[in-house]
Amino acid sequence: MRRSPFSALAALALLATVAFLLVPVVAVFADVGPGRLLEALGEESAREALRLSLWTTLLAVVIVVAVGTPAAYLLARYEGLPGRSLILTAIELPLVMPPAVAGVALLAAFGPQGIFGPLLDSAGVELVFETAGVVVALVFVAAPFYLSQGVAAFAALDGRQLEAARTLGAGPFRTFATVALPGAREGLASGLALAWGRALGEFGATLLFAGSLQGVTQTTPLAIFAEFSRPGGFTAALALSAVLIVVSGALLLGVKLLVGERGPARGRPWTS
Amino acid sequence: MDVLTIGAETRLRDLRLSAELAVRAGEPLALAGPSGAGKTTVLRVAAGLLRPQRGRVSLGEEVWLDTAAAIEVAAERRRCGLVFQDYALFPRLNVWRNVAYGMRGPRRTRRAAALVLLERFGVGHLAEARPGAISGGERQRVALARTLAAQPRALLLDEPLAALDPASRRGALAELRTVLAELALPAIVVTHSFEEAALLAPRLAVIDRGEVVQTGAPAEVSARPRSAFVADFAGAAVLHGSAAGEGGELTMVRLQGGGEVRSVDAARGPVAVSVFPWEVSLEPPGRGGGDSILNRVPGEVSTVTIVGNRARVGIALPQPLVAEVTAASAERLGLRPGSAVVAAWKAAATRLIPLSPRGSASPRSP
Repeated sequence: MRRSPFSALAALALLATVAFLLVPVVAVFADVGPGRLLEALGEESAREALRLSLWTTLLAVVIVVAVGTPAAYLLARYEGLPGRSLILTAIELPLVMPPAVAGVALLAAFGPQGIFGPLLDSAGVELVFETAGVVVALVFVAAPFYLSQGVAAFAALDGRQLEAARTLGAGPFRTFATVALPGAREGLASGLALAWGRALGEFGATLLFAGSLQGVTQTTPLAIFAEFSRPGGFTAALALSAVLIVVSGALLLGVKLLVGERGPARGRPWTS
Repeated sequence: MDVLTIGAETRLRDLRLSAELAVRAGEPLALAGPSGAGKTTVLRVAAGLLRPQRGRVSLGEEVWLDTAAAIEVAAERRRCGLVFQDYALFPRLNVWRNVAYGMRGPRRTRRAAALVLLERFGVGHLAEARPGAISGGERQRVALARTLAAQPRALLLDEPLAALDPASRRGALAELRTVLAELALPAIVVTHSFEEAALLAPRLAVIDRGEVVQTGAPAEVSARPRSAFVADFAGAAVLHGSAAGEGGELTMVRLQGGGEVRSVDAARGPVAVSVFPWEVSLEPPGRGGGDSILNRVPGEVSTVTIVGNRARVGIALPQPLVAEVTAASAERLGLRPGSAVVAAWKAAATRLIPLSPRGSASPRSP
């Protein structure tokens, strides 16, 4: 069998890509070793950072999904929505915004000297140097990932199925819940995975907006940086990094397995 | 008995839809016309899926839409059943859940009722299957069952047979005809085939470029097409010419490009001459006369298409005419492209449709 030079080049490019992406990941584990990994997990500060990361990201994605799903549906399905294309562009802006800029922007809006600072203050809400601030930062940076995937998934639905539901007597909510949601399931799941991954890795916006207080706003990426900055803390940073890789990998895989991959399989003709 | 009336005026791509229809329960209407004529749009307006710029839709005493009075009943409250062209079954639900979607009540009773309906359409054994795993004909029946399960008060079918292969279409056609005849609901079935329309419903409305151009019994419409478009759509060949009055009962028409024909219809000025292919007989040149056939136009065979035991013969007069003869006759006459032939048909089988002086072929009012 003769291979074309292009196929060989493409294969080489793939090999280089995979190698380059995987080598650092493997290096983290190779450097740490299982013993040191477990030891790092035993440290209270590391456990605290992980716990904080898990529940702030969980809270953030719950908010993103609860609010973002109907919002994405509206954006995708109602073409008569005023300013639709403008909104579509606006919600994707945080995708390309550098995290540090996001942090500064959040301070300008919700910080003590920000536009809504006095309002939040009079309502007794404090975000800066508070865990709530971490959640706000995470929602801000993660929501666009979920929204853009969600809009694409809802837009790809067969409109006639939604219309069929309505002619069968289903109101807008039932149509959404029984036809649109199941139909957009894989897209929403992949959006959820992306958003969660982004939230777990969030660093810059959180650091600038919420600070890096151990046990309060110091999520795992911030803890990694704190260890890294400490003289002789590189091994600890490596260990925490390894843990974060495992946790985020497991989370993404879990989301895909639970919500995403089972969906299309059940919908495929040959499995029914 | 309820009457479904639909009146709609709205922009439709590059043309205007302006349609008025009334359908009585128990007397299904076939809405026929070429693609893009606005057939589906009429159904969408009736079902509440599209709001026309101006319009009124009512079922019996109940007004579903009246743009003048700002009345609009939501689609889900109309109980107006719509079978979509590609059926739009829910792919994530199995067949019985699809059918039960529009039903009310506890799961067990809905399942039982869905099964009864599926059995009625001969697809009870597919209750647990997914729509993706069943054939087109089965999907069509499931879609019909799903629509009827919601107990609609009017039934709309959008090209219900278009998604089927020719073999299953024949069976489905007969079945659908029976279902439509038995329904005590106002029903509209949309089709782009005149033949299908004539077979499915006792009444026909022909729609062209957004307007209902003729309504009536299918046989009536094909026998007396009121425009060249309708004649063509109903299967007749349409020739253009100019009518000059002639003494006695007959009208003489000079065809564009040559030839003269006579018709029993009265007309003057530009006309479309329609004649059905099965009314045209073919003769070798130089024969003829001595019978009751008044129209004899020489021409040249352009195409010969054998369909089973029949041959559809295209003739250039030079205007195109289609004759349908038995395959045996075509063989005997040695018809092949280029053969000289004389097309003959009776003046009584020649319909004249007056054209406006501008030459547009559609007198407007029904």
